[in-house]
Amino acid sequence: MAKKNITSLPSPNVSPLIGKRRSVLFWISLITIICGFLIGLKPNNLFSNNSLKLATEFFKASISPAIDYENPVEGTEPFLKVVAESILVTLKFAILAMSVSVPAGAILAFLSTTAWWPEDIKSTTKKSLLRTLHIIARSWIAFARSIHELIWGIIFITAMGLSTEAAIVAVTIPFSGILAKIYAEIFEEHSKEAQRMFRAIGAGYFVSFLVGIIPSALPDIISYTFYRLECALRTAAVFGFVGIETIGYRIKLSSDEFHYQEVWTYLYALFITIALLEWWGGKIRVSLNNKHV
Amino acid sequence: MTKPAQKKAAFVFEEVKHCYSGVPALEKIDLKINEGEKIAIVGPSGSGKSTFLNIINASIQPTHGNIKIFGKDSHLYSPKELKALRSNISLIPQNLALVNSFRVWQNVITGGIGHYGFLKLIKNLFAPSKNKLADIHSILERVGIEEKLYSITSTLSGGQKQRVAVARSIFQSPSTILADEPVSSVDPARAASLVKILLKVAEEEEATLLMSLHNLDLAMRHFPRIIGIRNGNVHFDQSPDQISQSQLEELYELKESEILQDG
Repeated sequence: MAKKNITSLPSPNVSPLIGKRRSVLFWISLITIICGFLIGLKPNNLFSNNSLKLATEFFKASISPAIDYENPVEGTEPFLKVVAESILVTLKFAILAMSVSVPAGAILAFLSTTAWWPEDIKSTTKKSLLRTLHIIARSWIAFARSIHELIWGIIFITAMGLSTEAAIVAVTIPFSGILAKIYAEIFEEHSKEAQRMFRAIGAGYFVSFLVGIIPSALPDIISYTFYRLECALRTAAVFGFVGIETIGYRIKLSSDEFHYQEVWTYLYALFITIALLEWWGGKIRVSLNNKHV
Repeated sequence: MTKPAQKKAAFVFEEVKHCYSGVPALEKIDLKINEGEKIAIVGPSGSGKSTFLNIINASIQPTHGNIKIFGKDSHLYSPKELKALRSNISLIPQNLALVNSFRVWQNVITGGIGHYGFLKLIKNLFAPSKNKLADIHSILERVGIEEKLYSITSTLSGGQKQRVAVARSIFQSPSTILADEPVSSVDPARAASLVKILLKVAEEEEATLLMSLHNLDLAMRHFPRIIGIRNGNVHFDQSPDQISQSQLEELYELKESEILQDG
């Protein structure tokens, strides 16, 4: 057999990808500049005198967060109690939004995934019904995800008035869609060996899916759900800026009055809450993963 | 003089052929398997052994020909009858298909998945009765891992996991046990031990045992009937003492296209 002429091969010291990488970098930079130009970006605005002064004051306040009001008013509740209460309200908001989003997402995921579908489906009626449900679920998920929770919030608050209920519905719609998409992907990526085996020994489709896929997918599902809970907490804070009395509402009030030390106390409280949540989620993840060695 | 009781035919292959997207996996198989027989199915990778087993539990229907399962054509089984049939045929796949996050007793209980309704399954998986646990304990004793009753399955060794799969199979109380290369990933001593356990279980339960194997030596030493499959055809179907060396060599002979040419 004739050997190939090795001199025609690229030198092992030179990666053929380097040229490609440079070209990708060039195009990304060019697109960024064009986009910045098109939306009228003026980077020097960041460095105007007033901006710099405000930024300096803001970041200086980070080293001495408030433990009391910067401008105390008699008769108001202690500052740290208000901080704790606002964190609690934010947590309640996030947990409530998630407790609706998770079951809704799970149902939508089940309807949108093909992971539990019978492989040997013969009835055309059943096939069409499954396909129809699949398409409806997928379309709803895509629609719900495509609109940000803040836009949903504006829509619902305009329609229903400023209320926590309206804000929770607004969060639940995109969150259930996002959870459904990820759950469905997790179901589809997991090994189907146990599920197939259960089918082969007489189990129904739903039971085979439930016992064959869900237990092994559970660590990934819980891990992602915890991540979404963190997102829900941040979203709850952001909803404070449109008037829902979460921690964001307090941040906005303090910020409007240039009480940056108070702002930092709220931000640190939010950071500690998210860190604790992350730590707790990590602990659960580790214990579940230990079972899945 | 009374005649010895004649064993009934459990599976009868009548000119069975099966293709995947037009590519034949099995070609014209004609054979009969009686109830209670212990059979090893041997042959090279891709010869059609797994398809053969999948046709037996009606997981796939042959594209041509017919298979009679317990006296009835497989395509005549209604979905309900098919479910009942499958719940009576256990399967030990090569990868064992255990739920790693379950405790051992939970994995054993999944053997009864075809017999239970949804609620009964949930009850048994999460709140089993003491009697049920005692049954599982005695099954685990039979396969020699009773001390692992409450262990998480992922913490077991490969050999122990295989025994859990056998225990799951026993819990099913099947009339037929199908084992698809269950010992391909363990050392020879563990492979022999598992084959012996499965043969003993099949004997005690009076079940038919069909085991596909790569290890010819194991098959020749432990099974009274060996079916050799090559390129989707039955190459031989005999007792070990009738199989000649040349038949075995032909069974595993590489096709010209499979031989790597040097240079």
